[in-house]
Amino acid sequence: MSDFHDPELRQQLGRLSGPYPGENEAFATWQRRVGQARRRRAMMFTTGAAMTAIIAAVAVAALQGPHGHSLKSGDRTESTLVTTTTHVTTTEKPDTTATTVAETEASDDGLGDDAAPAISDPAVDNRPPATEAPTSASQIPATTTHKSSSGTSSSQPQTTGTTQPKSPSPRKTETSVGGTVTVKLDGNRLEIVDIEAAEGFDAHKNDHYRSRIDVTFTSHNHTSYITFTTSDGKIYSSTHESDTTVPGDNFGGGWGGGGGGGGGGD
Amino acid sequence: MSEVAEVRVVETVDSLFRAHYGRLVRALTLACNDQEIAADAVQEAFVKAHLHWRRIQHYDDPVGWIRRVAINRLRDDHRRQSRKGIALERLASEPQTQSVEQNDFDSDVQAILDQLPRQQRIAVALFYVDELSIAEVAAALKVSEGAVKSYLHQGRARLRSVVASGEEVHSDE
Repeated sequence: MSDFHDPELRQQLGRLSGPYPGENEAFATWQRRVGQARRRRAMMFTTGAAMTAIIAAVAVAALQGPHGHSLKSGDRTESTLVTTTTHVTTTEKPDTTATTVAETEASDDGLGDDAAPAISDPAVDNRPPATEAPTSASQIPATTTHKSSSGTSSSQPQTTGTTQPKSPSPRKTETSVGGTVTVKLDGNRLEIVDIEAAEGFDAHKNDHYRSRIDVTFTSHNHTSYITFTTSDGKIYSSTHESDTTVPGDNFGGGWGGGGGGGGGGD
Repeated sequence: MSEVAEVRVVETVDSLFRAHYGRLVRALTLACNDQEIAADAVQEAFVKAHLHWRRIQHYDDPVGWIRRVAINRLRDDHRRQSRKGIALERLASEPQTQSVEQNDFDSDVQAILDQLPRQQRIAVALFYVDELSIAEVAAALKVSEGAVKSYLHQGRARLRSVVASGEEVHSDE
C-alpha cells in the first residue's frame, strides 16, 4: 500500500472532479472529430500536392526560360542551314563561282578577305562611289527576275521542320539585282543571316565591323552593292547598282554610299 | 486488407477510449477546474491517437501517450487562458473582484487545489482521481518518481488540513 493512500482525500477529490461524462455522447463527439481531422488532413495533403505541382510547373517554366533564351543557338542552326542551302544553290553555277561562294558563306571568321580584299580596308569603305551614281534596284526590272530562280531563302529551314526560334532581334532583308541579303541585329552587332546570289552573280561579303556589313554581287557586267549599318538598335540599308564592263574593277569604289544613303530603317 | 486493418484500429482505439476517457476527463477536470476544457483536451488526444495509431500502437503504453498529449494540450490551453486573462486584466478599468463566495467545503478544497503548482495539481489529480501509480504519474508528467512523491506529499499535506477541518465541521453538525 502506498504511503499516499488516502481514501477520504480520494473520495473528496473524486467528488470535486464531477460526474463521469456521458460515454456515448463523448464517443459520438470523438468520432465526429476524428472524421473532421481526417478530412482536414486529406485537404492538407491535396493542397500540398497541388502546391507541389504548381512549384514544379514554375520550376519547369523557369528552366525553359534559358532554353528560350538559347534560341540564339537556334539562330546559329538556322545560319548553318542557310549556309548549306546557299551552297546547294551555288552548285548550280559554274564550279569557280561555287567555290568562292562556299568559302564566303562558310566564313564568319574572315575567310571572306580572300574573296574581297579591297572591301576589308576601312579607307576603301569610306570612299565614295567612283564610277557612277547609285541606281535603285527597282529601276532595273529586267535583272530582278533573276533572283527568283534561286528558289532558296532564309525561310526554307522552317519548312524542313526546324523550330522557328522566337528571335527578338530585328532583321532586315535587302534585295538587289545581284541577290538578296538578310541580316539581323544581335545585340549591337550586325550578323548575316542569309545571302542569296542571283544566277550569274558571285557574292562577296565584308562583315568585319560590328555596325556595318557590305555585300557585293558581281557578274560579268553588273555589280550590286548592299550595305547595312546599325544605329540606335535599328538597321539601315542601302543598295547600289552598277553596270560595268570590267569585272575586275568591281571593288574599286563601290562602297561608301551606305553611310549617307541609309534610311530604310525598320 | 486495409479495410480490415482499419476496423481493427478503430476497435482498438475505441476500447481504449471507452476504458480511459471518463477517468482521464475527471482527473484533468480536477486539475483545471473546468470539465469542458478537460474533455476537449482528452478528446483531442484521442483524435491524435486515432490518426497516428499505426505508430502509437507499438508503444509500450499507448494510454500513457494519450495522457501526455492531453496534459500538454491542457497546459497549452492554460497558457492561452493566462495570456488572455492578462490581456483582459489590462483592458479592464478595475481589477476583477472575487465574486464567488468560497465558504463551503468543496470550494475550500478547490481553492487549495488552485493554489497548488500546476505540476503538483496534475500529479494529485492523476494519482487520486485517475488512480494511477506513482510510476505512471511520473511517466505522464515526464518527471522522476521522487518528484511525484514530493508533489503528492506536499499536495496531500495542504489538502488534508482542509479535508480534516471539513470532517470536523461535518461531525459537529
